[in-house]
Amino acid sequence: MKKFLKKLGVFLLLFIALNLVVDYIYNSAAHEAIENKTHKNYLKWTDIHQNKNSYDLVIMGASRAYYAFNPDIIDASLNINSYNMGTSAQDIVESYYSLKEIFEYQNPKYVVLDLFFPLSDNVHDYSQIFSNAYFFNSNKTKFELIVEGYGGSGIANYILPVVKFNNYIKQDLMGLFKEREAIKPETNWIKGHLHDTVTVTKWKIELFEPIPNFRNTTFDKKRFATYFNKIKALIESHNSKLICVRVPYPPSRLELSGHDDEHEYYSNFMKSVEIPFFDLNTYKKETYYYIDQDFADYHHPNYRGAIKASKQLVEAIKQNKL
Amino acid sequence: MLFNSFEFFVFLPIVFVLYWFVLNKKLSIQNILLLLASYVFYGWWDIRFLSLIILSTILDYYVGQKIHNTEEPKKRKYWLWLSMGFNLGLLGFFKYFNFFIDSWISGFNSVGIEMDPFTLNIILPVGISFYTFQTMSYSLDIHKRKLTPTKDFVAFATFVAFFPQLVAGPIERASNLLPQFLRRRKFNFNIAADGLRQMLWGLFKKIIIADNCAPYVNEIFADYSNQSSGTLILGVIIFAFQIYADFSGYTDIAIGTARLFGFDFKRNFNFPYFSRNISEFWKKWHISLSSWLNDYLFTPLAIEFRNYRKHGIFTALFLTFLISGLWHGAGWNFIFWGGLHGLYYIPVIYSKKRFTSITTNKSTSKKEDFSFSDFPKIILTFLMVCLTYIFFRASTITDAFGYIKIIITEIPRWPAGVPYKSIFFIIIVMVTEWFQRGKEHGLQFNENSTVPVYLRWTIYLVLLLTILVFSGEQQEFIYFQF
Repeated sequence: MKKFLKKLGVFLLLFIALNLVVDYIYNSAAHEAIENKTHKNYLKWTDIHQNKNSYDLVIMGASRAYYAFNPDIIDASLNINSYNMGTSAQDIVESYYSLKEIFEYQNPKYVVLDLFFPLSDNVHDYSQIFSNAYFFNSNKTKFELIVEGYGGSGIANYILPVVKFNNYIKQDLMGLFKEREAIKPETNWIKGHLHDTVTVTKWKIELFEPIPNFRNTTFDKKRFATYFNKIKALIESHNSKLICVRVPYPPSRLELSGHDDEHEYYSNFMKSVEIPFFDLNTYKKETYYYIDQDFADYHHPNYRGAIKASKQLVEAIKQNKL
Repeated sequence: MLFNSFEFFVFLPIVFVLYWFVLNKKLSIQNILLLLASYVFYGWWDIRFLSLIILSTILDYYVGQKIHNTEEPKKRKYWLWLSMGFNLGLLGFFKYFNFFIDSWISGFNSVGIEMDPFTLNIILPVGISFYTFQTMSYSLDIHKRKLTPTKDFVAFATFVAFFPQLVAGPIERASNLLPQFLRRRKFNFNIAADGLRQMLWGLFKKIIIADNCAPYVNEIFADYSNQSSGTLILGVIIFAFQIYADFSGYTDIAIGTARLFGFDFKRNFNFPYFSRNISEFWKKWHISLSSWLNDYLFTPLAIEFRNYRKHGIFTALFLTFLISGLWHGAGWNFIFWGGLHGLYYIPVIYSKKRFTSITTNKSTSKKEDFSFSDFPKIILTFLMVCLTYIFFRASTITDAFGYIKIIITEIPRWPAGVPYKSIFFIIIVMVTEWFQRGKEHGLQFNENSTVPVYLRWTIYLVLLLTILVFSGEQQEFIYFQF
């Protein structure tokens, strides 16, 4: 038994050492960005923590949300102070715990939540999730996010950098065999919104695939409903108003897609819970007509798309007297 | 609890430490620990269905004593039928109720008698097909006087519920496993270390191959009518590797886990895709089920039909495979799958002088010799098995025929969305298993292996890292649904 435990121990030590190396490699850039005060999540959370009770409208969601809504446009039209708290790959569980943290420091009148199927599927980018939660001031919320929100899988990912960064390791390994696209720098931030001037190329449009639907995602209705109801209850308990939106897709992608599962599901769901929902693919379509050139890639609106989407949101709030 | 879950990797070390370090003084205490651990393991999924296992355990323990203590054949038969009736009743209700009602109603509807559909919302308890077969074999063996029932209730209950093999086998016989609960287990470094290696290999197959192949296969079978024939052919081939990696991976983890606790399970897979004919395939695939069916179904039926000679043998075998199909799932597609395997045996039965067994109970670790001329046979056998998988994987028998129709009638085109990454890992596993085919699993090293320690450790680390980095979305084991 001694021999067994000794060998097992040595193996575990080797494994831990390997994890530390991975952690160092993949986290060093993030640490550097924090030190230089350029880390996007650091900047967002610093704004939330330092400017106490100053934001009237907070936008939640994944990267689609932080590309689509420009707080400057919203503020000018509604005469409020808004902030875009969308973070990369933010899923519904993360939105809930992020809101818990936000409500500790802010008392917004509106919370805008962007919805799309991948935000409640069974595939999670834990490095992005933890990179967001890393900046929570509340250790309790952080703990709840990991343990309650993601369970065993969350704990394993938190403990093991090899698991947490597996997507990036995979990309790097695959990159040895094929040419990788250069990662464009994300530097132009306006109150949490990424002002992107890139326009999707013709070549990329040809590679478009159908939008998320029940078949090509692992959208988990139960998980979505559970956390959506938690978000709703949290927002209502702070006398705030929840508005749900769906950020537009490039029209070429919509054309490729058959039945729009997302639109149908969210419309019906929001009707049943009596929450206003605006699908920006269809809302006031005649006025806000999207073209492929309004997008930076297959699903992120660029600055042109962001102007339209932000105006659509403003109009939705105004017209519906929200 | 899933073997490929975080919970299991917390649960296992806790049980291991308690078992070998805290409660190692008394055998009965160790057995109680294993029993409680097994119930926690099962209850993690759904605590309500633990009652079924406990009920089945109490009944079979009691029946076993009764059969043994009764000399009168009629009474012995009565007790045996009580056990069979209860276990098959459980299976019948939870697994087949809706299937039989549906078939009954559509039968009436097809002859013009309209009946309203009536089904119950029944949840299939995980592992029910496995533990009922295990307890049935206990009563049957006592009835045949091949086994003396144990008086140790805890040992018997642990035999029924032992967590490594509770939910998806191997279906252990009481004659092999029960005595292991009655004698003191000693920790053996080589066995435990090999157990860990086997677990690692099983996890690799499950997480890297099965879980990564699953989305590709699911999409093809869910929408087969819109796929090209090339894609459908590739879909079923990938499914063949998915199901093998899934089930043999599960078995490797189960056997490896049991070894950590000093238990020895029978072998369940012996590199079946290297079989040269269908008979060989069934000697190597899900050995514990095929030997169970051989001993308790095929052999009695073959004796019953012995007057019909080879026709009798074929009838017994065909019926056995039909029931094997039904065991796998409550659907006509599964029955057809079994029937097709039965039909494959026609040339085997009629060309052989004597055919007595579907499988062999001998666990061979001898490396088989293959000649170059064996490879076409291996490929042909694999393709025959793949054909049956269409019925196994399709949702209904109509879908299966629709799938085959497209393959036959359309000119094959290069498949869409070829999962190159999965194919790469499949090749790695199959090549490794080819060279390891004389051993019990793909990662077994002999005590006097010439592979240097540093290289072995590098292999373990690379496998572990590959599992963690390239893991697909966590999927349940396919055989859990059976």
